[in-house]
Amino acid sequence: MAEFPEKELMNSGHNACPGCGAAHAMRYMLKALGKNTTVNIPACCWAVIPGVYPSRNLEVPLLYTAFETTGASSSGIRAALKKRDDVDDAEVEVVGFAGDGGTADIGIQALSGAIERNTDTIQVMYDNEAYMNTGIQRSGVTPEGAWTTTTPVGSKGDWKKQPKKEMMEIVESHNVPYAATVNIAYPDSFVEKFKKAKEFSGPRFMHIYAPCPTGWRARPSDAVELGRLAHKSRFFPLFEIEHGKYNIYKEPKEDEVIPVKEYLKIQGRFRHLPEEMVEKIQKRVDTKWEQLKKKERFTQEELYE
Amino acid sequence: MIEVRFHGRGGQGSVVASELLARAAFEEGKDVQAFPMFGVERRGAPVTAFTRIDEKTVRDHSKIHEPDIVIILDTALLDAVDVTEGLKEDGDVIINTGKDPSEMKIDIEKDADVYTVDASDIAIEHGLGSEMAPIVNTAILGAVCKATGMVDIDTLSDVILKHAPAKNEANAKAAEQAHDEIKGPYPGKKLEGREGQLSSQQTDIPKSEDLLCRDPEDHTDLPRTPIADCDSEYLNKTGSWRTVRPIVNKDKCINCGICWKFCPDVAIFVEEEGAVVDFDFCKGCGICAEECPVDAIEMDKEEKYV
Ligand SMILES: Cc1ncc(C[n+]2csc(CCOP(=O)(O)OP(=O)(O)O)c2C)c(N)n1
Ligand code: SF4
Ligand code: SF4
Ligand code: SF4
Repeated sequence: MAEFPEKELMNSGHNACPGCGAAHAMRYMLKALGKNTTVNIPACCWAVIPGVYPSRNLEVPLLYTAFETTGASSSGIRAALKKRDDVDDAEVEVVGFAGDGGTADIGIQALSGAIERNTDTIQVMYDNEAYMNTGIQRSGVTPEGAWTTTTPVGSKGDWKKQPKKEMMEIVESHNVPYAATVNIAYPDSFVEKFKKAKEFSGPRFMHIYAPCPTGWRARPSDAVELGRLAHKSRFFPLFEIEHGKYNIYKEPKEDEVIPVKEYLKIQGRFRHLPEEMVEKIQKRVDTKWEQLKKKERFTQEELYE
Repeated sequence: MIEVRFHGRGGQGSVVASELLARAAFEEGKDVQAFPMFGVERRGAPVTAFTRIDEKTVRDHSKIHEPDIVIILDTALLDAVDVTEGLKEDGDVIINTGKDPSEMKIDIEKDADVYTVDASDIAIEHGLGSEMAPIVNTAILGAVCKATGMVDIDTLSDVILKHAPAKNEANAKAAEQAHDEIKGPYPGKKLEGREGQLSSQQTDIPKSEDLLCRDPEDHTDLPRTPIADCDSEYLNKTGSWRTVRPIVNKDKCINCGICWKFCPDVAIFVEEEGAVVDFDFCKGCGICAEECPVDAIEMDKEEKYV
């Protein structure tokens, strides 16, 4: 396993909530990618976290862009780097770093365009499962059953009815060389997979599971534990897709797997769910897991060689 | 006109308090404004909110620079924020603490008065919030009624019953209890209440140079390109957001570095003698205590260390 890098490229004095998983996400990512990295960030929590001018907490170049333009901005940065004589553009990682709303909803065409054009970039979705910066509105990636301010519970309406949008599948269908899911609860494999992504060129996609204690109505001290429970319950499986081949990593052993309920119950956003709904979510998790195992088996076969 | 400034933290309800106070004054026929200062609205971060009350139409829509009354929901803020900034010479400071007004060391002009009330205790007693994070906004408003005479406690109670976001009855009771238990004024030199002040002249609109927080000269050394030079560590001391703090038991610590790995604020480091917390930046999330494999870290109330 790769060494866990000591050097910090994300510093203290930032504006994330106490216990913010998105802060872990940036910290570990920059540890893995190193200082020859540019980051472009659209409107999202991370547009506020680095600080207000003249304060900033990242030791790498940072460009703020409009909410819907992450992929396009990354393409632009790559093109500009290519034109410069004073930089060896092959040595620079261009990262587009957006929330789930910015990636999967409003920014999806820019993402699709950038990866389809074969832009040399790592597109990152830090997934806190809602539009958090503007006060917890649902996104396409918010899981089924969750309370948000736009999927309220009780007399005014109901919880979110639609299942979580599968960004890995959408990206996979663009035939990218590398895509992976990572989880902030496992910093070592997080860093290892980002280092692996760095070895490829062309469009790469990283889906980071980044618990948000504020929006999930959980205790800040449970942020890491939430990531762990999501993994152990198979709610958020860890896997990578390399040139179409699926590989599940850090697979929880059969006897380590816990019911999804364990994960749901420490979050206020799921508190209202009736037993049948918890069972329905469990079923969906089980089905998704079976599908993933089948995809892994199928794509590992010779026809993909 | 009476101008009020609230100092609290994200999650404590300062903004709601400023609104409830305004509503109560409105019920009594006054013209009012209530508004928060928009900054970083994160759980634990310092929050400022304002209320204006006048018998005439309030035409001033600017931020309040010279409040008559400052209300402090959390004593941990005394170190982090200049809470009496701009307070009028004869202003009032109302603080949530179990201490006596005479014990509070705060910087006020000679005619200003200090009041205290143990709003946290009262809130806990009425089941508002938790032991670690009581919701004190309604209790402190009861004390404000008593100290200033701006609005009647019965009007406030009615408004809380109608408009508090939750637990309305408990909130109203907490306000009434705080109204009865407030201590002060200290030193108590003022003779008259604030009722006569409600129709006084409106404040002047501040000049733009007063609004500049820093000398432009201060900026010249900083880079102006998107190539970042990291200075959040000098400018943004997030330790002030903390309501609980991690205490490391050096005898138990095995120097494993797990706390360092999982700190989202890069605020805990492992030295030879054990883990050391950087209290300038630690926000008190408690992840280090939760993740430490040998339970060498415990979270304790920040108040005790201020
Ligand atoms: C075009 C446009 N629409 C709306 C907004 C307002 N806005 C700013 S951040 C944000 C939510 C971002 O959500 P997400 O991408 O999930 O990131 P998060 O805040 O959760 O980290 C919205 C709606 C905007 N800045 N631009
Ligand atoms: S709202 Fe959530 S994602 Fe945003 S800064 Fe707070 S904890 Fe982090
Ligand atoms: S996690 Fe606990 S034992 Fe390990 S270094 Fe931190 S305080 Fe010490
Ligand atoms: S409580 Fe611990 S983990 Fe949280 S900010 Fe402070 S030192 Fe870091």
